[in-house]
Amino acid sequence: MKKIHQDVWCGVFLLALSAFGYFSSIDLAAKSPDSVVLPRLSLAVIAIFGILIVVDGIRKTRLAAGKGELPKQFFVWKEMKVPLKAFGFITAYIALFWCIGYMVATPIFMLAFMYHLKMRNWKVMILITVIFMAIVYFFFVGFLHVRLANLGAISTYLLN
Amino acid sequence: MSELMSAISTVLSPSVILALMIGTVGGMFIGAMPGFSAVMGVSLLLPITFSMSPAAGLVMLVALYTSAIYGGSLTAILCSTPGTPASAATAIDGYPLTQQGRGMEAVGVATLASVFGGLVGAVALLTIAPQLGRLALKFSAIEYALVALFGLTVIGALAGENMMKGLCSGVIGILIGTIGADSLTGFPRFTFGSIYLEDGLQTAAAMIGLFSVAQVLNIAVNIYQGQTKIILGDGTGAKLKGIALPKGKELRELWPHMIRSSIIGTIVGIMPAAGSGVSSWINYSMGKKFAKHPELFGKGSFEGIACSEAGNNSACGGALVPLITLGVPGSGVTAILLGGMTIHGLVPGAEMFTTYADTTYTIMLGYLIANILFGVIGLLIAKHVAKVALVPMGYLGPIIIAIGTLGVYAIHSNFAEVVMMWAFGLVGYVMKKAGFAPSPMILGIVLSRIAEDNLRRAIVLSRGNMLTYILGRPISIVFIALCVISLFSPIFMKWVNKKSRG
Repeated sequence: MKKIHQDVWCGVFLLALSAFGYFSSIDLAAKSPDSVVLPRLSLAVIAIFGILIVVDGIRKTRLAAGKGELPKQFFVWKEMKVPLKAFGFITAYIALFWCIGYMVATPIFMLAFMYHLKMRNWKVMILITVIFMAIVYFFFVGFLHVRLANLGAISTYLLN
Repeated sequence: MSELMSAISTVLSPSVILALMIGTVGGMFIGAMPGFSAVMGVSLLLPITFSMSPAAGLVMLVALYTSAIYGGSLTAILCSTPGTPASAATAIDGYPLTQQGRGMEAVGVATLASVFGGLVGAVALLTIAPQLGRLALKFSAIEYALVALFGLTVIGALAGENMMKGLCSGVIGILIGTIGADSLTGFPRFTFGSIYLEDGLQTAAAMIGLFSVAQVLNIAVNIYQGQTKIILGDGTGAKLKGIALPKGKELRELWPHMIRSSIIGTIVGIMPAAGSGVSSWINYSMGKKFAKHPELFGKGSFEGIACSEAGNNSACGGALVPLITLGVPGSGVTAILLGGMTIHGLVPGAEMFTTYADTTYTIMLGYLIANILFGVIGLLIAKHVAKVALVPMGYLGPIIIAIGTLGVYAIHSNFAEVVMMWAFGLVGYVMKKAGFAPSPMILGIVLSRIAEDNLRRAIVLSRGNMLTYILGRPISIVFIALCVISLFSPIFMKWVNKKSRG
């Protein structure tokens, strides 16, 4: 299959976004026409940019084909593997935060993510984590009364 | 004059000096934390001032306000994670300079520019506050809308290498800014039935996601490609000793930018709804138009940092003008400061310069001294904080995520905002991969509501006769001219250059 430059996909996405936004605003337009003026204007401009980016993407695809090169691809698993894994760690952290609260989830995440980012000096990793959590607890929770001490959704469920 | 002398002796009293130092150092620390902001710092410290004298309490709060705006530049420069929305523009040029081993100088320039801008705002506050207050009264909905529109015209300057994608990013930001309940009619827009979106997407969550989380994903990629520290190469060329400022011509070129940005920032700060964030973006883009080396913008320009930082700190002084002279808060911070003043028994308005003159001038002098104090501290610690560039990124990445999450959650204790930050993190990374700059999107989100709400109010006030309404307001005409110049000057300059080369 002929490889297409990533800009073509970006442009198609923008056109799809624009169409989705427009159809989502139909109900609101009937109730309050003034409320949809700026959103629809933005969607129209996004659609125009989408078309221009698609055209530019097709031009770049042809240029690359003419030179016998592969056009720039949007999703190359080899390139996306590392950031997606890192994003997976962050996703797990957010989920853990929701389940067991910030004060418990954060040290677990910090140690695991540091290890994933190729840090191997456990003494330094633990020291950084302990100091960080101490600052969070004494300064933000203790002094500034930021509400972090709850233990998440699971504890709320168990207590109820 | 006698009130000023009395204020000088009050500000030099031990309790006020202690409050000043706590506010300044605390502000720098809070401002440097991504997600935490001047608003949060002031609101968290406000209860502590109840047991203090009005002078000490309010001096601490204004010192925290201006120091937090400066503090945000430190993490913006060193880790590409702006501590406050007002420092997002600084990150664009600050981080590349850190990668080039010039982080210390970048922090030095940010410090110098912040001090300069803060002092200009402080002097304006001390000397011509009542006159500036009368100027603030002349602004109405149409002027606020035009300031926001002017801000939107500068999106092109932030577009990065691909103008079309940059502008598209800005328009997507404008669209995102419309999510939530319409402020004039109350109808929900693009909330899809979710109550968490009724208030719209929080700027802090979007900013932390687009800048901090996306940056951590880049850090992961860099680590797996063999780069272990922020600084590129082996770091031996990094300038981490000596004076924390560039030398000679590079330093001299900064002064016109700082002067211009400070004046514009003070005026922008006076306008309610505009503030440090809007001021920093407007001044950054104007700096690119006047810069000796515009090609360096986005790749590590001291001029860019100077414009952004002078603009955001001078706006703090400007924002205090309508607060003190008219009792009109122009931003979230000044709204909390208004609450603080009321709690301490002050009545903002004309009485601030008569009945409460001593306290008023003490606050203003405290604000001026705070700007000098954070400058001294900033220049002293610059070489030490710049060493963050030598810390292995594997330690920094998790810390950035943990602090950003803390900051976003602490704003409203709303987990939905943490999820927004998470989503914007992926969006920010994908955008960068696809060649879309994230800065225009942030600017679009910030300015979208200001522009739309005020434009619609202006239409109502004009009673259907917009042209006559605008022509009757000289300030509006000036802003329209600025918008037109801002939009068409790049095309005009290109044409002029082509002609002169031909």
